[in-house]
Amino acid sequence: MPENELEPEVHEHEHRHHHRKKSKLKSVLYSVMAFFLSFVLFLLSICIVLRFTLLSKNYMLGIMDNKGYYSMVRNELQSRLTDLVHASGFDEEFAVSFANGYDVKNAVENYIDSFYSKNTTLVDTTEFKQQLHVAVEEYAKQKNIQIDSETENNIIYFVNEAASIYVDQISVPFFSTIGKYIDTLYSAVNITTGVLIAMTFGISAVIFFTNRYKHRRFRYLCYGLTGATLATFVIPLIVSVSDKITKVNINTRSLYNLFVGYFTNFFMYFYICAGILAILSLTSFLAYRVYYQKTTSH
Amino acid sequence: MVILPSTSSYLSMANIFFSDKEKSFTKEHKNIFVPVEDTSQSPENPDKPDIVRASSFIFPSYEDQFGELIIDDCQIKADLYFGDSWYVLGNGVGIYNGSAIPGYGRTILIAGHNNTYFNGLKYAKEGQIVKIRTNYGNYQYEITGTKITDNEDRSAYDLAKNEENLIMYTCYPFDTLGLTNLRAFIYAKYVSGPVIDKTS
Repeated sequence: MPENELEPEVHEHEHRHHHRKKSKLKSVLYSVMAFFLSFVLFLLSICIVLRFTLLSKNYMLGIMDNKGYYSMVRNELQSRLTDLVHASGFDEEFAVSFANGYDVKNAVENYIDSFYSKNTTLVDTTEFKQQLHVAVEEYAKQKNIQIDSETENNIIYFVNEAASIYVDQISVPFFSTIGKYIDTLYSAVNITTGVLIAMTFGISAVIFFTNRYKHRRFRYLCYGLTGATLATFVIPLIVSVSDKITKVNINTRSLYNLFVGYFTNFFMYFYICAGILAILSLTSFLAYRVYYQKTTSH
Repeated sequence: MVILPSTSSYLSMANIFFSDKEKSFTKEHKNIFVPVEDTSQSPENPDKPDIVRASSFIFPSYEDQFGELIIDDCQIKADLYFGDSWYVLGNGVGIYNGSAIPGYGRTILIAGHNNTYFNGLKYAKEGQIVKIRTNYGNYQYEITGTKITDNEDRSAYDLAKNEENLIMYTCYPFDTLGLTNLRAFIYAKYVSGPVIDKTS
């Protein structure tokens, strides 16, 4: 065979080899992009969950309402005040009538509001102290007890002690520790969410517009979405399998119920996010199948 | 060391997650007090007290009722608990769990409220007899003196004393409304009752 007749075949072989190499490189590049997309979507899910749960005042108040937190706090406050009252020479009914008349719900809501809006965790005891002082004076009048200067000091001591119990019941442990970070965390989550949304659109746009075949666009999108679905689903799954939430070491019933309800719902949000991602992933998979069949039939 | 104070609150926050069992909020306060016959002195030798083996009786857990305290001259008859929590002081008098139980040969520090179970201590005088009945033996102590002092005064009691003695304390003055900074201490010496054999 003459040499010049062989040339086109060699050229075609080289061309095919070069094309296959390029296609492989493209495939690796798009897989890496799909991986990044899944990672970005996973982080975005975390940010969205944080934004609607831990950083949301309404979420906290909703859980408190649903879990009967206010009535439990009232009962605990009443029980602790009864002990104090018992030690201070009053009748037990004195604590019961006082705690029942006091608006615990309003005090807790003010505390939560100041935590989220003002970054402070101070409980205002002025009204509590005033009301208690008035109640003590009425009690003394009813029982014909003379209040001299020494008794007055003892009553002030009692009122202050009751106020510290009240602060302890109204406040949520560790809120004073994390309260100072709420504002920073809030803006950080907002900025990160914005950046992640931009990155999601950016990566998706690159995958979408740089691929000639439509089925390939949806294939890589499907990879990214499936990865994000699995990652988002794994977090609440590990927590529920480990059963750590109910084994939390909290001493009061009200806080324990609040904590368990709060974090059970928190992880439920991850399931919701994973569900949405799963639907998107399935949609892109179906789109991939449709376009793939069209391409192969052509 | 410098960072310790700033990390401690975060460490205690993390600590709430390290529990291996589900929390239970049902309180069980046991009453292990079953009166025993009077064995305060050996019948053969009245000066030699009986010995009770530590393994022969149930040692009280925190907030368990395991006896009663009686001072006839002060009209005091109160249930005796181990521990001095709010629950205990609302239901009787309690032994501070850092002190000893009767028969142990150390200081027994008992607290009670001045308006309720220890209100009668206002009548306490030297020579009066304090009876303590427990689930392992009956004891008698004789009041030797009283002291009114500040609640911060640590010299009012010696928990390290290697001699059986009883100290009862309550808020002072009695029958007052509110909380006070003063405490009334009533001291008593051991008279009779079985000695706990800690080696058995």
